[in-house]
Amino acid sequence: MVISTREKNDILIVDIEGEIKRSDITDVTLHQWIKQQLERGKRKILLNFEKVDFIDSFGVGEILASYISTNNLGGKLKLVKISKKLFLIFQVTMLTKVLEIFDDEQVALESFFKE
Amino acid sequence: MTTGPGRFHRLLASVVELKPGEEKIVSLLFLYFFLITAAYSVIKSLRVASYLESLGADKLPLAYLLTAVLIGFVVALHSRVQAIIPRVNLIIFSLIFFILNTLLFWFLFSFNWTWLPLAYYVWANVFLAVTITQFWIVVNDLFNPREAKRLVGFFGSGGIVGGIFGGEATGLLARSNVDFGLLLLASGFLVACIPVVYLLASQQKRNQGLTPRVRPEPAAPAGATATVGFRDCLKTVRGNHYLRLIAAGITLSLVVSTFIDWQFNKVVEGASSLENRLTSFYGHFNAGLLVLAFFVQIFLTSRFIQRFGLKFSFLIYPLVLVGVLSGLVILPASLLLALTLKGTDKSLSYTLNQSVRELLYIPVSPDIKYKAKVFIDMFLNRFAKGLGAIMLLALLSFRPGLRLVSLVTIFLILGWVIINIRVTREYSSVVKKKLKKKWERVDKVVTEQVDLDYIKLVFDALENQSRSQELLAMDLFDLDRQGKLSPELKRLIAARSGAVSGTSLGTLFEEEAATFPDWSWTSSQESFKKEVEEILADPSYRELLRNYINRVLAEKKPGTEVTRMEAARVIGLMSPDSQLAEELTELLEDESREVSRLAMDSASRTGDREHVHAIIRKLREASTQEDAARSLLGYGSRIAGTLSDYLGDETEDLELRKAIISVLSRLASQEAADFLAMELLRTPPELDYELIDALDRIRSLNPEVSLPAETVRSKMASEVKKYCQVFLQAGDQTEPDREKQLAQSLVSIFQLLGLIYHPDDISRAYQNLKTGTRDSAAYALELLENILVKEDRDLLWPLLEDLTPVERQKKMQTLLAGLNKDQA
Repeated sequence: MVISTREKNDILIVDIEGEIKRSDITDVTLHQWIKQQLERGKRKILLNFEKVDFIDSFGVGEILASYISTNNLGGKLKLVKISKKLFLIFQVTMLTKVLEIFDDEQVALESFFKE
Repeated sequence: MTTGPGRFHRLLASVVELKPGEEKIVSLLFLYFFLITAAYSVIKSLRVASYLESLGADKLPLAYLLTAVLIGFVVALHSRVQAIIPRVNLIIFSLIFFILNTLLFWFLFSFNWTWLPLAYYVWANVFLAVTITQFWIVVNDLFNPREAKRLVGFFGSGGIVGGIFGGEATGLLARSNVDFGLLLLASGFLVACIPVVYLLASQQKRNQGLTPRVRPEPAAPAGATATVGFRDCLKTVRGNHYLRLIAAGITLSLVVSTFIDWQFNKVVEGASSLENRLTSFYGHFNAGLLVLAFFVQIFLTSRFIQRFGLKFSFLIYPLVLVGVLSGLVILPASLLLALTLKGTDKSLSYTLNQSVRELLYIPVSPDIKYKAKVFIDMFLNRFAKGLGAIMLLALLSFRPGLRLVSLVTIFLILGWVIINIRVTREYSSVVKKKLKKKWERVDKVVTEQVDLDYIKLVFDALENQSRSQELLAMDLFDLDRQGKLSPELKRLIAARSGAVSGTSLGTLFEEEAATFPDWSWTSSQESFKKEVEEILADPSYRELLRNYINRVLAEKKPGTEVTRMEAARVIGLMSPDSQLAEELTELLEDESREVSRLAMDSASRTGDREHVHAIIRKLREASTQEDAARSLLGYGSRIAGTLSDYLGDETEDLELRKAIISVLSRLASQEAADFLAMELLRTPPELDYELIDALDRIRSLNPEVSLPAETVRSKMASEVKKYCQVFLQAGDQTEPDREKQLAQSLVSIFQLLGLIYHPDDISRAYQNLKTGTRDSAAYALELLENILVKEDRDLLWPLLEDLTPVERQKKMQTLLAGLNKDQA
């Protein structure tokens, strides 16, 4: 998993590339990385999954843990551009009831300011 | 270069706790109240004198009756006008109306019409009700509760000074028994009020930028105006529990006041020392009362309310009356007791009680507050006095002695005290409603809405399609056994099943792998499940499986990861008595994270505690931490003790101890909370934030959990001490680091508060203090002041109060010195 970031209007856009899975962890997990950003004061985070090839059960746990940590601090964590098939799985597992998922980055960015 | 506060500010600040920029507003309010009460004093003295001279005291009931009827109409009219025009215009129009009336009466009185004093009497009562109500409405518009508490003592005293001034001016300037020329003086006071009201509105606009604080009511929807009237006001009060309580308290207080008035007059009437000096006695006594009230208002009211809060301040007046009345019940009636009773009644009623009563309206939402205020202040006040008179007459018909009347008054006051207690309790709820909850801890929401075990199984099943048909079958069996194999999931897996054969894991979620053949599901699921369960329970099968697992472990070599995964997984399907859990020891330590993860999962399913220590060790690594945590959670609260042993072991790695804190918090049981609370005072400071956050999480997941208040308070004191030290040691570290530490410390302090108070109240207060507007931060403090016990308030106030940096520094130094002394 490779992470690069951009920032737009105080929103941290996290471009994730590769796979989020148990067997690929090196030193820092996605959740730990998000916690570091929260400690730096970031509160609006958009995870861009456009270049994510694969997520396993560990990866889902990491996304949920990141969501909880962000929201508990009064922040917002949202997802954008996940594949249609992954979205279907998120629907079946009711993850879409909790996570905010968008197709379009601009719409996702605007949603942070609508609340 | 900065300039300090001006001379005027410094002068006012010697009598009232002023913030920079407030001097103009409080001076204008003082003047406003002064002018209307000065005008009223003049009008009132003419009211009684002219009525008695023309119509006599016997016709006073007619004036009372007409006032009551007319006030009803005034309430209706005022409410309608209030709903359609900006407040400042309404007040100006009212003042102009009363000025013109005053001049008209001055002109008409020259005709000496007999019934004119009746009209004047009723009009004077309407004047008082309208102008005083409007003054307090302006106060409600201008201030939040914190500001009003600080300043009410000062601007409230303007009314008392106005009363003294108007009365004295009448005495000095009157050239005859009934000198109607004084009406010109009263109208002069009212004319002077107009620029004061304008200045108040413009001053407020300047302070608030585009949001004037003397603001108009929001525009009423079309057709709504027609419904605003007396009935609507009455309905508003009747339909709101809090307003009903306020109304009941006011009614009882006025009934009591009527009873006290009678008792005072009764004693004075019988006092031989006052024979032939009654008029002079009343004059001196009333003047003395006003002077006493002035000093109470300007020097005590605000300080008292700020120091003891609304709750206690609202009880002082009735409780002091009970004390004095008890004297009248027990001791022989004396002039001294009667004077004390009346003095207490009038001085506290116009000052402390009136101020607290007005403060109670401030947090009420504007759409109902002004309707209720108009109804209560204008109509109910009159009605309650009438009711008091009727009740007194009914009681006097039994020819009771003074003692009995005093006793009945005490009972009435006790009822009033109960109502006041309920009002102040309800006040906290009303303040709370003003505070928007900006965010929630989402742990509970996620736990309730998302089944993580199910998600894990689904993702495993999808991944295992390309990995091993055996693993997939086990996942499906597991899902089915737990009743979680929904038709949607069956379709999803069936579709995947066809698609993934021969594809890489990488294509699992890709759009192009979307052409799936149908995978029909077995129709006899129940018998299938039963058969599998029978096989798993069969001793021969278990023996066979044990041999197989041993062989797999013995033949461990590259490329056999999936076989070991299958072995680890199948043990989790067996019942706890299978004895196969012991085979997990080696699998738990497998180099493959997948094998190790499945072994941890199976260990918790079998409930074999032999593996708990091995799993706890897995909490050390980031890659296995979450899987180990979930596995430990599977054991439930029975391993809380083992976890706490690790947590309390100072030789253990700090990261492991942090992870254990997290697992205990996710258990969210009373037992886990007890272990964490025990560690609150023992663990090193590096674990403080994790521990406090964990306890906060437990309370959000399981509100039933209770924690020892003494431990929490002790930790809170340490955290406050830490906060003060960081705050006072400016320069020892970079500003962002210092800010970060202070912010983190404040979070912990509030989380600790949430452990001993209602967490929702505490988080509302915290969120609005941190991210709210100036007013919502003030409401947050107001909520805390009303819910925290004094001990906690004293500890937190120097951190939270709206203070200047110098004041805060001083208060923190004092607090820190006190905390150091306590700990020594």
